[in-house]
Amino acid sequence: MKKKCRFSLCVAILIVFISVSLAYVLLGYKWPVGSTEPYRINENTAQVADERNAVVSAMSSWNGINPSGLTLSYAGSTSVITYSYNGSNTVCWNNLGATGALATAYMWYSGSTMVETDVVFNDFYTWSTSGGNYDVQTVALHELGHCVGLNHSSTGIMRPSYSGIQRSIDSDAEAGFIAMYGGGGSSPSISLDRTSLSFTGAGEKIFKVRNSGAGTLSYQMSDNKNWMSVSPESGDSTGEWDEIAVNVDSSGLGGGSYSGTVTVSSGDADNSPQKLNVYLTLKGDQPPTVSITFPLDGDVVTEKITVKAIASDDKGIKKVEFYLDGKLKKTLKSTPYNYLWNCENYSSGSHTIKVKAYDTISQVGEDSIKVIVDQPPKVTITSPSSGDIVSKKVTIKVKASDDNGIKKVEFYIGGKLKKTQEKPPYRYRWDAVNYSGGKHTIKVKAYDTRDQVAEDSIKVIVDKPPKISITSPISGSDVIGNVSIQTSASDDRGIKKVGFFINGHLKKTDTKSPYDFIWNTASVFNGAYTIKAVVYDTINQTAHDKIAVILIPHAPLSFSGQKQNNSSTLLQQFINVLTWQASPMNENINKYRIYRIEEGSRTLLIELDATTFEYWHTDVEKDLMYTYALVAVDSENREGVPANITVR
Amino acid sequence: MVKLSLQDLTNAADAIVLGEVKKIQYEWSMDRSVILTVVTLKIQEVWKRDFYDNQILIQFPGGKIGDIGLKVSDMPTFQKKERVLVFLKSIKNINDSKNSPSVSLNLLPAFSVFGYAQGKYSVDGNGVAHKSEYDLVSKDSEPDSILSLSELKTKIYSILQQDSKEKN
Repeated sequence: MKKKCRFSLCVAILIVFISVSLAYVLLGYKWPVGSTEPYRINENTAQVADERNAVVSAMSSWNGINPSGLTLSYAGSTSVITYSYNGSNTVCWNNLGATGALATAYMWYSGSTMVETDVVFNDFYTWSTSGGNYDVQTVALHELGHCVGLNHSSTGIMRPSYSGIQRSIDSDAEAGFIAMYGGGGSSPSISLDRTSLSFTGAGEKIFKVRNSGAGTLSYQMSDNKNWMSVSPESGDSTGEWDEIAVNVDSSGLGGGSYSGTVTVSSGDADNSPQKLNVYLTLKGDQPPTVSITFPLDGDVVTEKITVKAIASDDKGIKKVEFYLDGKLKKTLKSTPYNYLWNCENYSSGSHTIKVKAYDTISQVGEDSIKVIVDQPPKVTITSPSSGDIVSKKVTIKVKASDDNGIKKVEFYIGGKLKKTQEKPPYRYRWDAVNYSGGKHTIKVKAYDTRDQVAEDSIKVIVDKPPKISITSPISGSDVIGNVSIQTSASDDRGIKKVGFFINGHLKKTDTKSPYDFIWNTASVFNGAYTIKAVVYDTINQTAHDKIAVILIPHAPLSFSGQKQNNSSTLLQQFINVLTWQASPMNENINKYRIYRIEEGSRTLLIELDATTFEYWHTDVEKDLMYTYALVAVDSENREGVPANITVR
Repeated sequence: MVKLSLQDLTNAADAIVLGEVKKIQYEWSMDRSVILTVVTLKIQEVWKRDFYDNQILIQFPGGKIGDIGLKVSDMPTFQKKERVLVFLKSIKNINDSKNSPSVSLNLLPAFSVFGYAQGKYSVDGNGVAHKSEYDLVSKDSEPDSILSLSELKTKIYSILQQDSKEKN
């Protein structure tokens, strides 16, 4: 059973919802119930002749719903051509251009009470009262609907867009009217002839009250301001209008606008109480107005900003004060009203800027906004340091911080983005090898969560490695004696030294150009050798060149010769006896060769094994000089340096 | 109201601006005959006309000061921090006493919304533009009342290009 009841309830709610989903919409303010509202009409459109009748007919349509609830009445003509808060309800025409608005209703209200309405028809559009578009009565019916307190609706006359002639009030709009002003009844009802009285100084003005319902209305008057009074304070009406005087005493009041209310109440009336607004405007010194023009409310600010304000007053501005979070920061007595705020010293988050303007009698106007302080991020390149010399891969290390967090850090080399990193540690491994020698700029940018940017940059020097080549001797060549090792070395930032190595042993370090080395081989065994030259630049980057040379056999020692008569033979032969010794710095000697040198050319006389150290050159002429060259020959059949003698 | 198409709005507007409402003020006009709403709009994009300022003022009758309020039929409403696309008309005579607020705000360009509520789209967080204030009737009958900002931009640019060709 419970479930069934719930279902029935749901259906009922749904029906109610559907029934109200297309309903009227109320503005939220209305005329006092039972009042009669006079409208003056300016018949100032040249397009039709009887626009007043069309507007009055529209009034009559609204009056027909419940005349005792609200009556709109024609109160004569006017020359007013636009809307204005002047205490008079006005209908007029004015050419407002192609705005799309056929007519506009202006509803002045105080609390929930309508106090004045104006309707301006747009004379830009074509008007008709004889069945063409745009129909004056239809548009008047719509605009007067606003004037009685209805907002746009999704249906009927209060639809926002014009859709043809509709000169009668539909049920939706009528229901809205009845919700505000009722549909009549058998009780007394309070009607006032107006809803407001306006004063510009001390004086007396009259309004009227009557019973617009059944029976006798017994009413009481009350007011809520000590600068006004009402008389009489009570009365009875069976339908006739009673005049009530409102007196205003402005003594002791300064210039400005004042408002009060007269309340008419009755225990019998079905619409008690009704209220009459009383407005008093005294000319005098108006309070100043001030507006903060920069920054705007909600702006994010950082570092130093200029808070700008403009202030005006009919008698002049005495001073303008700037407050930050309630604390007075600056007072200015003349324009421009600008305050340079260094918000670097303020915490992140919301802060209030308030500006107060004082006029000459210390009336105050103020404006305030809230701004969000967000300090920019901070970023520093911690490694390498500016001026550092780099040559290979280098890790760029960055320290970044922000009060609200770092969004990302970008690394730039020479202006080109190389890497973006969103999380710490913020590092980039830069390979400087691929960059030319000289200065290069490393820049980093840090972004905070609001895309504020900070950057740091340094210049580092890329030092390219040195170069070296051994220009002499030529790799593979035979050498002996004082071997001159010459190099060609260079570096973009200078050479520190060149080291010369023979078979891996450092023999000389040369710090000055030309970088060379005289290798004395006198006490070096013959054979194959490696010569290496290593160059160091100013940051000890190195390069080397290496060659292979052959140190040929040294000359045999003590090579000597003597001409002798070989007396051992009968022929009396002369022989040249040649003797020598092996060089202790020779290894792997296979043999010796002895050449005879004649007239610049040499002729091999004999090859001897390496253990022979004497040779007899026989059958030599007694009186002839003989020149010999003796060379040691190694296992590679490589001849060494010759030893020469001349035998006489 | 007479329905204004997107083409009507685009061609007739002096400026078309996408922006965020930063401030809403209500002030009496200089002649104290009307309450004015003054909206400070921070410009995000300009789709028609150029601006040197990054903010403009939108001004129209309506608002509430103290006990007195003024409601004007068909006028748009703005909310602080609301993102809006507005079709604007320059207020040519800012110095007339009815159009000029009592605080001298003519430091910034001042505009009215062309077409009243029809000339304003409210843009939601998903980038969808709504012309909901005016269109109380049927979304189907208003093809341009709800559409994405990018789609709206494409349409408006197309209209502007067509208008430019016709003028040339």
